[in-house]
Parts: sequence; structure tokens; C-alpha cells
Amino acid sequence: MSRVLVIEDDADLRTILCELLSLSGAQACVSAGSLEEVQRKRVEALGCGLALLDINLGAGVPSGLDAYRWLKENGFTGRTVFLTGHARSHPLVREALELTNAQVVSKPIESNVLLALVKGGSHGTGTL
Amino acid sequence: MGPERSRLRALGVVEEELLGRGWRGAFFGNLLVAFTELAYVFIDYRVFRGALLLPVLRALHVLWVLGVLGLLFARRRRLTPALINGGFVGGVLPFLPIFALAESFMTGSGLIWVPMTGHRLVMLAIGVLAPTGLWLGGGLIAAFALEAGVLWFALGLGSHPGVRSPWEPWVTLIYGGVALTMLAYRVRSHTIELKLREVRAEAEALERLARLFLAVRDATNTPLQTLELSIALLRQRSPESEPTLAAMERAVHRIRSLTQRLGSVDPLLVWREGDESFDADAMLRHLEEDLARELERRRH
Repeated sequence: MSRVLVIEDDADLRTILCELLSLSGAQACVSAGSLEEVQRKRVEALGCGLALLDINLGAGVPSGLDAYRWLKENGFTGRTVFLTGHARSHPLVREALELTNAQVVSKPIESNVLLALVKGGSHGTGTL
Repeated sequence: MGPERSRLRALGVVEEELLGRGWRGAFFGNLLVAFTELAYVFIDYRVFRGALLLPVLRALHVLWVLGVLGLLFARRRRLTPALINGGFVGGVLPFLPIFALAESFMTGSGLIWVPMTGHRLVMLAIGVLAPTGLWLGGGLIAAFALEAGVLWFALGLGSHPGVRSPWEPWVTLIYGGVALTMLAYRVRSHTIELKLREVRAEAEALERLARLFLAVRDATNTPLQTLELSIALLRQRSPESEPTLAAMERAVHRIRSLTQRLGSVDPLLVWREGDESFDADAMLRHLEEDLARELERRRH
């Protein structure tokens, strides 16, 4: 399993995700709570093979989609999986679903499904 | 007050406006009566040349109506259906004896006149201004139409040389029918309006409930995800705690089922501009504030 970038505004979930991924064989876990933090960790973030992005990073701040666009603009070539706790009808979720090379996964996702997703390396679009 | 009205009252939607509308009808109806009767004080004084009974009765009616207007005005912040209905009936009913006397006096005046003009005008005014209940307005219109018919035959107006109304009393009865139709149309429009308001209020309440459900679900999903992954992590680190972890997992599963059911309201929701970056906590706070305001409103 390659390096994984986790962007999640909830600190507890961010920590647990990284711990679980590390324990399950990820080389490294780069975590950030906001786009600003990702930009500060630019080199590590862009070097990851997989990005797990929370879609809503809080009210009035750049969303996971903004983070996705920033990553793509800066040469990120890894896979992207969006995590969301929102309804499918939510405007940001709808926007994420329309992306051609990203997956959208609804929270809460079971751990084995998450790990299969991360290890399996399934590419392309889709929802779970 | 029927069950439909009671439900609306429970929703707190239209009570005040209904009373306000009734008050306006009663107030302006009485104002109209005051002006009309004031004019007829002078008209009757001239027509009956010194016979004071009718002008005095008209003047007393004006004073009575001014009293009713004063009461309606003073109680405009504490309205009740009884006050509004009473105010309307109180202003209109004295016309019955006054009209009867006026028609009777006209028969002896030697003048040419068109009888029942007052009856026709009052019936039309009732059709337009009466509080929107068919029984009250309909009863008043029927009373005036009945009196017109009785006077026509009792005073022998059909054969009176001064009367210039070939189709009476039928024309007056037709006026009564038109007034009743106008009143019925108003009552029907009013009922439809109430139903539409009720449907709209219920739709708004449902959408608020849907927003609350989704806000609760959205706010719950991330902590649930944390619990779900924490259990997996603990399972790897402490396999000996399996029974406890299994119990935790079942509990998380039950909460998850509940939050999934909350998501069934998703199709009811219409997303508006600015909603995309909402904060579930802020939304719950706003909903709590709205509920607190509604509770406060119902207390008063």
C-alpha cells in the first residue's frame, strides 16, 4: 500500500484513519484538516498515491472539492476517494459524483470495505 | 368552529388574520352605516316635512353605530369572533324597523318613490362585508328579503299610485339572491385560501423536519465513522477484547440503521444557494432557536 493523504476536518477521525491505514500496511499517512494545511504539506501531499478527502471541511472554508482541484492543478497523479456524511442530493456531493476519476463513498463506511478500497486500488469513478 | 379551523389554530397560522379580516368588515360596514344614516337624517327631515320620528330614529341609529365603532376600535387588539359578529349584526339589524317605518311613511306621503331601495343596498353590503360565515350573513340577507316581501304585500305597494317598481318584490328578492351568491363565493374563496395556507404550512413544517433529520444524520455520520474505525483498530490491537468489541459493533450498527432511516427524507429537501457549505451544528442551533421562538409565541 502506498502513501495515503487524508484530508478530514474531524481530528479524531483523521487520527484513527491514519492509525488504521498505517497498521494495515500504508507506507505513510499524511493528514490535514484543511486545504491550507495540505498546501503547507505540499511535497508530502503530492507524493501520495491515494487521497481520501472529506467533501465538507466545515462551513465557510474550502471544501474537499477545492482540495481535489488544488491537488490536480499541482500534479497529483494518485487516486482520489471522497468521503462524505452528506446526502446524495447535497450540491457538493453531486459535484463530486460528476468527476470522472474519483470515487465517492458515504460515511460511515465499514473498515474492511475501506481497507479493501485502499488496498484494491480500484480506479475510475463510482460510488460506494 | 370546525375541526379544520381547530387544526389551523393548532398550527398557529391564520387565527390573527381571520379575526383582523372580520374586524375590518365589521368596522367599515358600521362606518358605512353611520355615513348613510347621517345623510338620511336630513333626507327624511326634508321628505316628511317636520315629522321627526324617522329622522330621530336615524340619528339614534347613528349614535348606536358610533358606539359600536368605538367598541370595535377599543377592542381591536383583543378580538373575538363574538365581538366581530355582534358588531356587524348590531350595526345592521336596526335597519329592519327603520326601513319598515320609512316604507310605511312613504305610502302616506303622497310622493312617488321606488320602494325597498334600502333593503337592496343593505343586502348587497352584507354580501360584500359580512364576516365570512354563511349562516350569519345568509340569515341577515334572508331577514331583509323577507321583510321586503312582507312589506310589499302588507302595505299593498303593488297597487299604490306612488310606487314606480313594476317587478317588485321580485327584483328585491333577486338582489337578495345576488347578495347571497356574493357571500357564498366569498366563503368558498376563504375556505380554499385556508386550505392552501394549511397545505403550505404543512409543507414548510415537513421541509424543516427533513432539514432537521438530515442535519442530525450529517452531524452523526463522522462520529459514527470514528467509532466504526476505532473498533477495527482495537480489534487489531487487542483481539482478546473481541466480545466487548462485538457488542460495540452491534451498537454502532443499530445507530447506523437509525441514521440511514433519517436519510429517507432526502428527496423532500430543496437545496438553496449557500446551503452547500452549511454547518450541521449551526443548522441545529437555528432550528432550536426557531422552536424556542414558536414556543414563546404560543405561550402568549
